Amino acid sequence: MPKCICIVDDHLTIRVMLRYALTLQGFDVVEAVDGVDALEKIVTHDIDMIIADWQMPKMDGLELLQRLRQMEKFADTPVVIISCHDDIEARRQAQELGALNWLKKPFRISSFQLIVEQGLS
Amino acid sequence: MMYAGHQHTGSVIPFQRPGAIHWKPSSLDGLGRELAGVEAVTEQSFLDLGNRIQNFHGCARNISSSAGEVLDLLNGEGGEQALQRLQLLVDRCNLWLNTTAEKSSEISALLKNVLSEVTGLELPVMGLRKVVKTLHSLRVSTRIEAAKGYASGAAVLAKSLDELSSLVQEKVFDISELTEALVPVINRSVSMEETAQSGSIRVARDEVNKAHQVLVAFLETFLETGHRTGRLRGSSDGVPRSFSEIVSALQFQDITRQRLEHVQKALNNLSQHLEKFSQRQDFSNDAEAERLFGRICQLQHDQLELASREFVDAADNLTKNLNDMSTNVVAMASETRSLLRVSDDASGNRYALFSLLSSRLQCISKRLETLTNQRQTTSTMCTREFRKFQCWSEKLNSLVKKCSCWQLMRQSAQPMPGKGAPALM
Repeated sequence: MPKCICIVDDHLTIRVMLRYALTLQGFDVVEAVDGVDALEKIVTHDIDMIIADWQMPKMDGLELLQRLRQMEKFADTPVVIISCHDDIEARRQAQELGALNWLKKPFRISSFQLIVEQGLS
Repeated sequence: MMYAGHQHTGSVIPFQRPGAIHWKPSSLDGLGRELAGVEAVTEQSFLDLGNRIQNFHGCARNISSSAGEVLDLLNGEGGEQALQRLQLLVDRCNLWLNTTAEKSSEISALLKNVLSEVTGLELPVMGLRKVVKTLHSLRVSTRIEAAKGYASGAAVLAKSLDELSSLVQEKVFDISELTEALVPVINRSVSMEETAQSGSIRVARDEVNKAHQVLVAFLETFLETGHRTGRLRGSSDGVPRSFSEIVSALQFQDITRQRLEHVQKALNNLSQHLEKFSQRQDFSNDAEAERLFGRICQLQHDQLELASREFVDAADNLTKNLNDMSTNVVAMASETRSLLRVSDDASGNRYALFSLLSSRLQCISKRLETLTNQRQTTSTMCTREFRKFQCWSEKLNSLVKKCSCWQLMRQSAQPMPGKGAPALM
């Protein structure tokens, strides 16, 4: 049974690109356009990892991470935050909330795939 | 660019002259809309591009994995081992046939020697025939002597001579018969060995050489295919690299979008400030306001310029990598076509080559079978004749014994001086 990864990003190109990269690795993918959408979708799937953009409308990646850590089911789920910015304060918050990694755009697809593999191993 | 000639003074926003303000709040709104439009246009283009690249990459991956499978099939461990075993088999066949040919020559030489020795028996046989004649004359003389008065001793001697004469005659007949029978057998054996050397062994060796040539031809095709697939693998390795670069470049659309959003927000704020500023009563700080607004515009301009530069770089990178990917895929297609051609030829040739190889090996096997049968026949014949020789040798021994016996009898029968008959011989 392939592992399932949720991609949360308001930018369609990024979602399409990440979905393709993850599909190549043999993962199932669930897509969400923001934090709110992600919270609705992850409860209906067995999610093994979440890849979330930091800055999104409605609910950003950090808030989503905070909500996830409050849910028993997702308390230990690996989460990778991706962002165009390398904001030190936001990174510190993400680290405190147990984010697996902070991946700054633009990133290489191979680095991304490696982080996902390591996070799930 | 919206900010061309962007220095904060000039005809567009002449802050320092009351009543001469040309500022229209809607100007920045238009700029914001235009920025949003840029983002919308690029997003759709990038999305299309992403989808096309996905399809493209998917096809390239299929070609690449197919090439890998072909390579594994052609250069796979099983195929290589089978080929090595086949080569070993053919080499061993060759060695074995060389040894067989040498042994066959030795057997021929040996049989010829035997034949020469058997032919050499002719003289002793003729001598024995003379002995038979002499014995016959002796028997007649002994009978005459017996009739003359030496009845008892000469009669026994005459009887013994009779027996000896008939025995020797019989043996001489046997030897003669055996020699006559042996010569054609050995001749036949020699002929069979020579036939084997010039027939079965030669043909088998020819077939082995041909099988060797077939294998060499196959190896050439094998190497050519390996070379092609190696190049194909090299081209296909370039595709994921380009894809990775393209994915990185695609992200600049999102990065630029965010920069544009920030600039848009900043311009909205500026617009609001300018709206308030246009309703001012005190114009004393106009120079300072102009400097601040100008600074803000400069910052936003710098942001847009940076975004533009990054975006152009990303687009250049995207173009370069798309070109690289395209080049690689074209090379892959070309190599795949060549590979297919070689592979088709190879599979056709391989089928023909292996059919040929199979028939050659079958032929070798048949020739060797024939050779084995011939050897068995020769061996059986030689064994049979050897037994006859053994038998003949035993009979000869028996004859020698009889002769010794006869000599003793002759010595006994010799009359004492003044008493018996004269010496017979």
